[in-house]
Amino acid sequence: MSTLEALQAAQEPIKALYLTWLIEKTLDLAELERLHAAATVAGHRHWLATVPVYRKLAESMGAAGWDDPPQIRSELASTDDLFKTWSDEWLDTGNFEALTGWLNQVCGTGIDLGGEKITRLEAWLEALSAAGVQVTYSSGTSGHFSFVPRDEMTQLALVEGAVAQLGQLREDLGFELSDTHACLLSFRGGYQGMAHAAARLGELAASQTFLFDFPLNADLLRVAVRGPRTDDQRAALEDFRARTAGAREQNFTRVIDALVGPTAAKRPVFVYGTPFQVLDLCRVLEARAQSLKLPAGSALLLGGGWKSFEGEKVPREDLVARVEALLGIPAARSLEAYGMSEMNVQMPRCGHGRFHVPPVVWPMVYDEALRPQATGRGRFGFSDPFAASYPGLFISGDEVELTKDACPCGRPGFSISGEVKRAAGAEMKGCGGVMASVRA
Amino acid sequence: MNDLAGFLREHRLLEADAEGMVRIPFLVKGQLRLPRETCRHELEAALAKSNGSYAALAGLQVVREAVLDRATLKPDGAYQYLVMPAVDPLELIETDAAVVADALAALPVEEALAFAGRVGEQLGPEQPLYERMAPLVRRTSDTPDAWLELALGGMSIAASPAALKAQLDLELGYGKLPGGRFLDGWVPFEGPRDPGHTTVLGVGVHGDAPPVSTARAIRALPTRQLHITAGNSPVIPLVSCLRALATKSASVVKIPSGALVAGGALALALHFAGRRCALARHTSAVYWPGGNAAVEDVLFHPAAFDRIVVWGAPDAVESVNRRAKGVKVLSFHPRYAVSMIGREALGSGRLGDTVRAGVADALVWNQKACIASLVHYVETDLEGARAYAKALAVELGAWQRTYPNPLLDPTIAKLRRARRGPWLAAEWFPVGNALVPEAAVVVAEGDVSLSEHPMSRVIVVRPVAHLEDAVQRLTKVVSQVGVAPEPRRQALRTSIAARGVSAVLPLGEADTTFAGMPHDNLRPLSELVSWAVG
Repeated sequence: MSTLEALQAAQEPIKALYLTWLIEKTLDLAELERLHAAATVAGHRHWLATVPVYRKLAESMGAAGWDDPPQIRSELASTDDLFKTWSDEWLDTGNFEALTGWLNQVCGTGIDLGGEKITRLEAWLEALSAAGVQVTYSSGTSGHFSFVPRDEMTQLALVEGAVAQLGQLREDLGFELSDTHACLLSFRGGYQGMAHAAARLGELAASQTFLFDFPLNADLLRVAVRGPRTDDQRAALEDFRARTAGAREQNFTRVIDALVGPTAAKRPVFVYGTPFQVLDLCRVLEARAQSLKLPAGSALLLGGGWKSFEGEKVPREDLVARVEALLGIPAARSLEAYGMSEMNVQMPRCGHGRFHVPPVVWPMVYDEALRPQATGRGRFGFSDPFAASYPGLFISGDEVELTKDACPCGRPGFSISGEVKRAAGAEMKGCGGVMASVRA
Repeated sequence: MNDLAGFLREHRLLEADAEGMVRIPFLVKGQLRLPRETCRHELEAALAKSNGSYAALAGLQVVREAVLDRATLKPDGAYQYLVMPAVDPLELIETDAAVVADALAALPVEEALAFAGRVGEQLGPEQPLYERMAPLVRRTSDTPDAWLELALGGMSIAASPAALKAQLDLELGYGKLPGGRFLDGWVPFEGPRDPGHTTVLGVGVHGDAPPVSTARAIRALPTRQLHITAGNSPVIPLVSCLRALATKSASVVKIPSGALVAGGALALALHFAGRRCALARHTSAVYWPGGNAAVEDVLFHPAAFDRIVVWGAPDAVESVNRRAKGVKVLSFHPRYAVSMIGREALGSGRLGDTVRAGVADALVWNQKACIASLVHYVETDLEGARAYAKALAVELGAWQRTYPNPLLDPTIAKLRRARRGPWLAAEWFPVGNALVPEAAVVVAEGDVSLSEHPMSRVIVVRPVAHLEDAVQRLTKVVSQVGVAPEPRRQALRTSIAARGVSAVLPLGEADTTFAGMPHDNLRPLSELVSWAVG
């Protein structure tokens, strides 16, 4: 049996547990722990065999032969910087061969893009997609993108997870995405995580409107975040801004106008966006003294967090109340999920404010010395055996309170209670120190 | 009372009692402020209501620090409660600036430096203050003993009047005249003078120009200074304070949270250095938690100080700049150093010396100082970089055996994050424990993020085709660069310094200093005085 086959064999019983957890709201935690222990070892062996950086790390620690799941999770989990370990020099000089070489170090698929000369980031992402590796990215605030590569098997796990969760929504809320009009406060596609998800959701809906009616271009986004360096980039950025922030009123007008038909036809509307974009929609409606009564069955899904709009952040309760007042979507139908781009599943928020961890991942919190703990407060981390193309052992940059205490909502298993916040960096106590964005 | 030892005993200052409480005094314009009596129960109750490490009580402040086992630098389960008086910011401000200016301007430099010297003497080894301060600092410091002892022992040396005089003469020097003269009085200026445009225009009105007087003189005058210091070394509050004393200036020194014991000792040393000196009556040393608006809104008022010195991150400096509009702010940001190794220094006959010098530059203040090298740019290929890295790892191992480097949990976390995140693609050469190395060399082919650099005996090696390529990466966040061999340093130093780097030194000499050496591209004493023409 190959390492991949062994990993797939370890995944199957976890999938079954996941569906039981999702549909029947039951979970045998002891069984889950046993299955994940086996899956962690299977994952370790597969990543060791296929992912060069993982192999290098393991060998430098003498960890190649390990078969103790807690030890593997403790010593071999990567931080969310794994997918940022490429060099800006390569993109600045158009060295896409080097970027592909790097991807082959962090991803176990052995990608070969042939001899075609690639000169743009978007073209590189398209070529990878054509070669069977779906790479999505997140921009962060530094302009140094995080590229997450998924082979077909990992991509399938991601899609299956999303479909299962949507299926559960149907049960819980009587919500059928294929019957709705999707109001997608994002771009019409692109490889950026949120835009990519918006496009996929749009495909599943009966009709759809995007706030930005064009795909998000990776090259342009990088220029926008890092600042233009040539006249061509300056002109392109100006055009991009004219179509986004500069066309705010027109874009929202188009989105709002598109809600009239479904409302008249009593077709539910599915609103999806980051908290900031949803807030911005509310602000536009408030400025126009306009409120909409979207049909019964409509719902909102918040994703992505506030990120670079942290300064605009309003309490969730305020945002949900404004959505109820301005869009007519009841608070109980304002949904939210917590996740990260490296994860192949989202953690839905229940009515009691907890984010429930689907059993497809084994969650942990890492303490001050970055040692994993079963529960308590610390950096959120997880073991994800459904990551076949990259090592599915991660430590995030978020600080959470992880618990397996029963939730009043009845959903069993691990959950995150209270506020999710960015883990604090070490305090600079003196003259020696490095600013966060410095590269050398 | 002049008996410092007796005073310490009588008021139970700077000693841990049976409950771990340590009483820390402040100095407010020469007057000692002692904390009121309290008990552990009262402190614990206040801490329980706050973040657990700092609390303000009626008339008191308390900081709780974990006591570390010196062999492992791990918390041993005990805590030290540093009990301090509350601070009234209005008491700290010199409300009659003119009186202060007259009193301090008239003070002879020699007297000011003698006062500073007496402050240093009080802090010297085997003095009562040192005997109380040093053991307490050792209990909670995360710096290995060898570095800590040198720092504590060096406090009195830093205050030497001769060194301060040399510093003054160099930093305030004007033309060929030694700087100290400008603080003592008006120094005639004898160069050519431009008569001025109105004189020229006046000829059109009166038909002739009035005679231009010949009397011009220059003087450096004291100022009112607020020093917000940093806590990675117990010496920094003293160093900052000495700049105020050397410039004969009224000052408030904010003691940093990481050096409260040393700051309390400084307050006592200032008090017992002699109250007849005018400086003694215009110097304060206090603590408040950074960001406390009730204190800082008063102290950052534009009229409160003439100069504010901030040792800290840019956001702290920006906050001061925003609130203290019009006040001149001197900022010393966190920075780091790098090394540049030319291919000539890698030859078989020279590699040993180069490696020894390179490691020495990396281990300044156990790599926590801004002048400690974090990255070595080496003019070689990947194989050459690996060979250099292996040699560095051997040298680090030798240091490790002589001066062990126990790791604290936050450092362990940084090491783990670096190794499994931003530097995962790099090649690691661990020293000691393979899982959590006490030291390491990391070879990175491409550029790497430094945000997770553990600053704990970890050297990043970057192979470069030409050192000139590495020069392009330097900015003002780099404090200094050590270069080998010497001809390459000579060739590169202008190009490096032009990018904002403060010093370009021979490899291995990172912490060599001289009195009057510029600090962060400034001559601080020159910035701290008020230059006037009269």
